[in-house]
Amino acid sequence: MFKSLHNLHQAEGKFLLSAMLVFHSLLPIAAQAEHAHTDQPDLTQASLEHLLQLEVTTASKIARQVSDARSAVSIVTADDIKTYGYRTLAEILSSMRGLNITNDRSYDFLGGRGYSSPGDYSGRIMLLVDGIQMNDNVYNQSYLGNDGIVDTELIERVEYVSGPGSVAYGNNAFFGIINIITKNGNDFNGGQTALSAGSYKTQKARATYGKRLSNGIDLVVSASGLNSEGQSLRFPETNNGVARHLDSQQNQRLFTKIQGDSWSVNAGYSSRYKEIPTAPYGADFNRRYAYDDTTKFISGQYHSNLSNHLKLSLQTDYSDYFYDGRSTFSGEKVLENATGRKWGTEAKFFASWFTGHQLIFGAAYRDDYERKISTPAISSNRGRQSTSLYLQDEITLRNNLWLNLGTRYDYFTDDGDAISPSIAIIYEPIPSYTLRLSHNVGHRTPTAYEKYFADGHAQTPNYDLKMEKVSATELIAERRWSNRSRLLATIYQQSTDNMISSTAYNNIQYFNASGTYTHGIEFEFEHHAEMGTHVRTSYAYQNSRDAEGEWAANSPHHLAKLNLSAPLFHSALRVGLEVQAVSRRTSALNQNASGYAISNITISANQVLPHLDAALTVRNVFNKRYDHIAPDYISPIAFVAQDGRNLWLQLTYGFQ
Amino acid sequence: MRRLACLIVALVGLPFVSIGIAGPLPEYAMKAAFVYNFTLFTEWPTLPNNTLKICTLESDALKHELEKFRIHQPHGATLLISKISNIEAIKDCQALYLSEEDKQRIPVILSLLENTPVLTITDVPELMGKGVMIGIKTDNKRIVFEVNTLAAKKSNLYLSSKLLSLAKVVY
Repeated sequence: MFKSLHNLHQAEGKFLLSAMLVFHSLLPIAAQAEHAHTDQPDLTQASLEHLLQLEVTTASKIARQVSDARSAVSIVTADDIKTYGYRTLAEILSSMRGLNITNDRSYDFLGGRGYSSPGDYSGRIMLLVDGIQMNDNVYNQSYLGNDGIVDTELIERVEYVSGPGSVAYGNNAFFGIINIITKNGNDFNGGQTALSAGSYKTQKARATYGKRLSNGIDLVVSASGLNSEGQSLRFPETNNGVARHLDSQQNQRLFTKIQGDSWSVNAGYSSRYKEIPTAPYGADFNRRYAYDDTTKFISGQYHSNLSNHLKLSLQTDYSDYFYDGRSTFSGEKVLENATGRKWGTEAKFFASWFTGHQLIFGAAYRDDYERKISTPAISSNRGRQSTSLYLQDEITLRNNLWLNLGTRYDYFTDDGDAISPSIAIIYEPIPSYTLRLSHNVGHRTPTAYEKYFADGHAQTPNYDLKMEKVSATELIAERRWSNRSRLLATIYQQSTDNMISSTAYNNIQYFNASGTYTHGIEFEFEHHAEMGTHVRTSYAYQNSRDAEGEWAANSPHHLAKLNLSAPLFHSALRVGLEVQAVSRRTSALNQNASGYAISNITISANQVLPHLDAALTVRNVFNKRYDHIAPDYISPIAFVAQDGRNLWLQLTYGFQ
Repeated sequence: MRRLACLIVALVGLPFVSIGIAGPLPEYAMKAAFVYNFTLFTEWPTLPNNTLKICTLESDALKHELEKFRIHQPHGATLLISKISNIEAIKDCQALYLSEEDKQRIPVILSLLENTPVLTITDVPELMGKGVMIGIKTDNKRIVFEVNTLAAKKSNLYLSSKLLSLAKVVY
């Protein structure tokens, strides 16, 4: 016992030491790159005609957030997606401050702010695409892998806003929100076709067309397909059994966005078929088990200046979700499926009627008219409606001091009502240095799956299940140096109440546990050097206690990330190096998964041939063996081994 | 440990590779040259005290490059480069450069400048065609610009036909 403790400490120490060494080695880089100079003609004498002929290098800059400025925001841009060869949203999120992904070879589950319960479909972080909520309304799941709604190549930026965002987003913006903003047609300015191939016999093809037309209308249309054979995976817990050819997946996606000056229409479709090698819920091992997840959405947005002091933003959306599970239990084929359909509408006003007050207020209505799960034994369909009202005022107290007050009221036909207040003080003692102190309260209603689902043997419903609540206090300090460097530090504590948890898998029932408690500290540093070197690094410490006061399951104490990219050979190539380190985690049954650090490298080249860009990504360069903690419902499997070294080659051809 | 050493060598080594390249010109030096040239092709109703003031808000990178043009005398006037901290003072500028960093304040800025002869220039793509007069952007490694003549006319500014002929798009 003593020995194992000693080893663990050593491992953590080594981990911290490497993180520090990496961080220190960054500082001189930035300084050296800044001092590099080039010969240049005297631009002060150049004529406009001459200037139009000259080639320019774009200085890379710190991206500015579009999300609510009161919170701590991390950003990944389209350039990062290209530089680091991100194929899925899960890969993008893995690189961001304080976030970790757990993969059980069915889905990617997102953890943040100390909460990362493995296999918990609903997660606690809301996913938005262009302002539209993407979590389905049966399991409340956000799809982050190849089941995600949009190709990463269509993403302009991903913003992670940590902390409860309940005033603006209501139900389910519990520990944070992920805001995805897609590219405009003008960003493509023509057609693009991409072919890629990778390890595990994976191929992907995509065709995209985007343009801003002369009448001002901007449009994007895109379609893609992916096929992967996957691996034959060995699971030691199943008498060392191998699930042969049970890891394949296929995905198809469609996406379009059409926008004018004051309106936009978005629509998307994503369908993924995935074979599940882990035989969840006691299914027969090494027999076919497949998940089919399909999401569709369409939304319309309209913005209008009602007067000089009043702006209106309207949004209406419809989305649906279909799930099909095909499995074999004791030789019998079992089919189960789920359907979720919803529509919602929201009117949001921005008013500057009174000097020193920026008001935001609005009302939203959502009709989850179908939330259906069917198994051979039982089928249940529980619709519900919700109505919300919110008001927020940003008061300028002095020219460097702001007070932000907000509150939201939500009423749910099946879960009662909730009030979510928030307060924040924002202070800029000197320009480009911001201090923010905030207190936010949020809530999450139980999902249809948690509250109503019964399958006749393994899971029973709990009609008394109540919503869970969170309150968080956070102090954020942020410093910017011009638009090249940014340092963010944040310290927070959060406590939850009535946390929705489940009993063990062979007798599942969801119930309201007592509260959980988390505190943590996070740092993020970003620098764009003049010569094109770009560094983004972060470290998060989190200590999360579950309802019993024990160390929360699958909640690492330390998360460290490093992203470094630089041009090579006269900018002909760009190399992106990424290191992600996650410390030790424990499972609900107190089994430990050791910490790990993995490194990924992407080398990309623009115009290797006319109009042709190429990129090669090697993920897990050092072929590190590491495990993710398995969800309870795939026991006896306790750990899921992750991918070793794997390759991904992308070729992108653009035309006018 | 050997892996760690490799990693650190890689980290420290990378940027040296990129040092000492001649070729394309830095973005802000180029943008400053464009901004200065735009003022040469613009006519203001008057130039108070025979000065021409180009203003920036948050973008220090551009201001730094614009300083290099100080010795020039566009339209025979004294050129002033000024960073604005009091937003009301933008009305005293002849040209105003709006960058990504100023995005949040842009609705306020544009309403303040309504019908005021201030040439507005931006490199923020979303703002082109939203009341800003000249938008510059990078297209195939070169800088191109778009001109919104309607917005200029409203503010009583005259943009020369040469400027319009060199623009990629004219509204």
